[in-house]
Amino acid sequence: MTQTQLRQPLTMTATGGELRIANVRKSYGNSRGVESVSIDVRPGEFLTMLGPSGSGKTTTLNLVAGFLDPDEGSITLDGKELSGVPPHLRGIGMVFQQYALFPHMTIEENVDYPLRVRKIHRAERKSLVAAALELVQLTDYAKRKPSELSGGQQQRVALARAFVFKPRLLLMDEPLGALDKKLREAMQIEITRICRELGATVVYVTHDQEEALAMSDRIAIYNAGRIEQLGTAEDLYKRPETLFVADFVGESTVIKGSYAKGALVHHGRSLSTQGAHGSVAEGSAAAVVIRPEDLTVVPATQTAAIPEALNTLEATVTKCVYLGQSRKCLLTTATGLVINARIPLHAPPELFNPGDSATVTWDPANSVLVPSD
Amino acid sequence: MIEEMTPPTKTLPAPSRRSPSRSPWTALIWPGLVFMALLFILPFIQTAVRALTDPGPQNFAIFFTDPVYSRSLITTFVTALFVAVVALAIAYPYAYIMYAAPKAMTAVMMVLVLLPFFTSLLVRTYAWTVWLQETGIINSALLNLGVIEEPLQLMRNTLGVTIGMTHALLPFMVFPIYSSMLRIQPDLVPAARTLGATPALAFRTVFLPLSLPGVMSGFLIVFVMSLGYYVTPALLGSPRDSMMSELVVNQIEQQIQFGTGSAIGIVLLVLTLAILFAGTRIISFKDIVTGGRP
Amino acid sequence: MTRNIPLGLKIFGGVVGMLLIMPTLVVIPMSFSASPLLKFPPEGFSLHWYGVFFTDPLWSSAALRSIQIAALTTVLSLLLGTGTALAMIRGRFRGKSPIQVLILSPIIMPIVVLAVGLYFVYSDWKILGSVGGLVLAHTVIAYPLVYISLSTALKALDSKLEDASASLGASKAYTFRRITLPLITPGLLTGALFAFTMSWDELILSIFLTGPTVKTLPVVMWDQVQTELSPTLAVAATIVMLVTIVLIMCALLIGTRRKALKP
Repeated sequence: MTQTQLRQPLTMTATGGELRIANVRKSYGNSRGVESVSIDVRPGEFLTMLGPSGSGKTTTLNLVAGFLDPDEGSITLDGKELSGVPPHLRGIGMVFQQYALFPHMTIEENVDYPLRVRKIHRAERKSLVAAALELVQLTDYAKRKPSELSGGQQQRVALARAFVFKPRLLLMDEPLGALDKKLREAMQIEITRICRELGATVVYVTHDQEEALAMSDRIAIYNAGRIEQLGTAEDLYKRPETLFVADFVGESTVIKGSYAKGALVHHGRSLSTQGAHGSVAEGSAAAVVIRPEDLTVVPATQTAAIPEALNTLEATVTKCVYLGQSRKCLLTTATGLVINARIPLHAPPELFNPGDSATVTWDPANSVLVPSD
Repeated sequence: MIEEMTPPTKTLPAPSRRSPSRSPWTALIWPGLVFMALLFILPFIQTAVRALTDPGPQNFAIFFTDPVYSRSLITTFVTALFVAVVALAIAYPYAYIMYAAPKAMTAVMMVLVLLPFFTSLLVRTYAWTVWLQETGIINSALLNLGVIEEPLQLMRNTLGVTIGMTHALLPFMVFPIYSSMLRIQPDLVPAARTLGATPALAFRTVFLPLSLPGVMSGFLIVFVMSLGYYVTPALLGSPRDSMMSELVVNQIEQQIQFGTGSAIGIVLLVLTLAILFAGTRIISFKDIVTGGRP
Repeated sequence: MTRNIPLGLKIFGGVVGMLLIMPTLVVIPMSFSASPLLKFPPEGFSLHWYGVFFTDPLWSSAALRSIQIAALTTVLSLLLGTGTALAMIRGRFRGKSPIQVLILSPIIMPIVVLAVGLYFVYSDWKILGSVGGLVLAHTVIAYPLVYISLSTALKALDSKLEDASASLGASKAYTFRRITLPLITPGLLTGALFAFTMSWDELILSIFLTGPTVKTLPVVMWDQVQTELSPTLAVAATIVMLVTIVLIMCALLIGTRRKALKP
């Protein structure tokens, strides 16, 4: 009975808003700006901005939150232009990197803050705060000060405070950056659960790709103030559109060369790109990207069995690391190309000792063709 | 036999620094303690003894019989409080600008506060007389501009003392406030803004309460230091409304009344200690003295 | 993220900044006055009063006396302050916090009362008007400053470095000389400058404790402020100010270097 009563207000929180960032530009004297960024975030979507530090993802977040004003372009939430609207009138919840809990207020007072500021009626505030704390499982800590809580608990308070006033959009700026690895993984699940339950639209910033892959509906890859590619985790992994994305997301082997007549010419060797994803202009600089699991490594003595349609490269094993299910091996070709492959544990022992000769082979249909610089 | 039974771990000697009695550094506390006993505590005891015996405790009666002295007690307290309030009103916004301004600006403002802090109090007070006296810069300028017809009375009154002492003590207010502002996590005000607070509300509910430790520390140190100020009231204050320190000097140097002078001094000391004691209920003594710096 | 400062507040800051230095700055032009009257704006320009300052034995001997007393005060308060800071941070004993209160007290106690008390004590000891007496008195208020800067330096010192030195086979004395001392040197220098400045500027204790033959520069200036006002006073003020500013600039520079030293 009491359970359902407490849960009542939360079902009302649902439906997140729709955020559109269109051709936004913001430049500083130095770097860290953004150049023509466009993203549409669908209602209820969990979108992550992933990229190296200084690539413009936090700048984008600050533009949405209202701490910065764009030089050009527009940002709308549910169709309403946000530019020029001060942060406190945007109704956007934000979770900060260092939690930003008010140290002089109790947990309850922290979560109550946005409601008090909005002059919401006392009784309603009380039930909303209670429901929010219940959702993040911190009901017993209501009367404590932030300094008395662990990092993970403080993070959950910050989350509760950011969604308690039912914002149309939740922004999170590397919220797990200060936590250790184990706690971080637990919190990833926790945050995803809470956001799903709320039906919130979330824009999440991180530089940790595992985190991004684990939590997001879609991911925007940032590089040098631009979005390189926006897509699902699978899109980014299987069908990267640029060399940067291919290199940044997951492990891969990158073979550079020039593209001619359906093949990549790499140091005189013609490697077929028949059926490969992606396309580049004839005669242009290009690269073929292959994921480790799509590469097969066979001893140099067994090359006869390789079908004609597959590409092959001769290489020498330089290093092998035991990973449990397989061995991660680095091989080097005569041209200095480094190949990143997985070798099954049952493979012949002459394959994973440094100095062993091997032939690397792959199906061109499993490779991706991207423009190179 | 017993030695053979000693477990091998015991053979590792415990680091000697950890043992409480044998620290070689402990003895170094004595020179400082002896020095303070002879040159700080003993003088106060001597003063108290003089006040009570030269010729007797009736020295303190002066506060009840002569209105000059009872009034001075009030003047001292009120002036010190007034200086602390004015200094706070100036120092808080000043510290806030230092906190919010770009780095280069902060450095300039820091130097501006530091320079008077370390230039001789006598020089500074004397310089104020150049500005404030009847024939001083301010009055000459205003007379020449035709703003006033008679020179204004800018010193030799409470106004002059307040100006001089606020100027002298401002750094002691600015530093603790500034350093407590620096300790406020920079994300907190932006966080309040995303939660719906206007800039003014975010300041009032988040920034201000978190800077209060510095305010309290600054207020107490300025208040307490004002109580014992001598040079500034002597040069800029009214000869009629003397502060207690002026009366002490007057009794000892001019009147050669050591007993009375000591009695006034002891009352001033007790007043100082009482306010300090009240202050340490709220913040630690070390934070008062060092402005909360580590 | 930029923090906007309202224009009104900026103007306020500018005005306060001006007020902080303006009073002091009028003294410098007045010291170059050509007329025997001390007033602003000064009449004419001359170095006459600088000549008077350096040749009149009243001023020049007071200046030398002040330097002598400040130097001795610095040495004494460094010895006491360093010892106390080491004992308080490294030593193991009870009652540290009342001792700390005692040592820091001179900073905020009414100096006039201390001056009166020292006057009585010195009369008993028959050291009124002596250089030694002034040095001891100045040390009472310089010593807490040295203690603060030394204990800050010692606390900032990573004790693992000393442990590392010991683990590499160094004796305690060697570790102190080669590791501890170099690392706290900036703290020592800052403390020394504070102590020197404090003594160089000190007036109230000196008024009570100087005699007719041993006078410090501030005491001579104080006598002058109350009697005749000649531009020599502005010269003395300028020189006192310049010496102090140079010393403080050194302290600030050391402070910056100390920050740079931190890993």
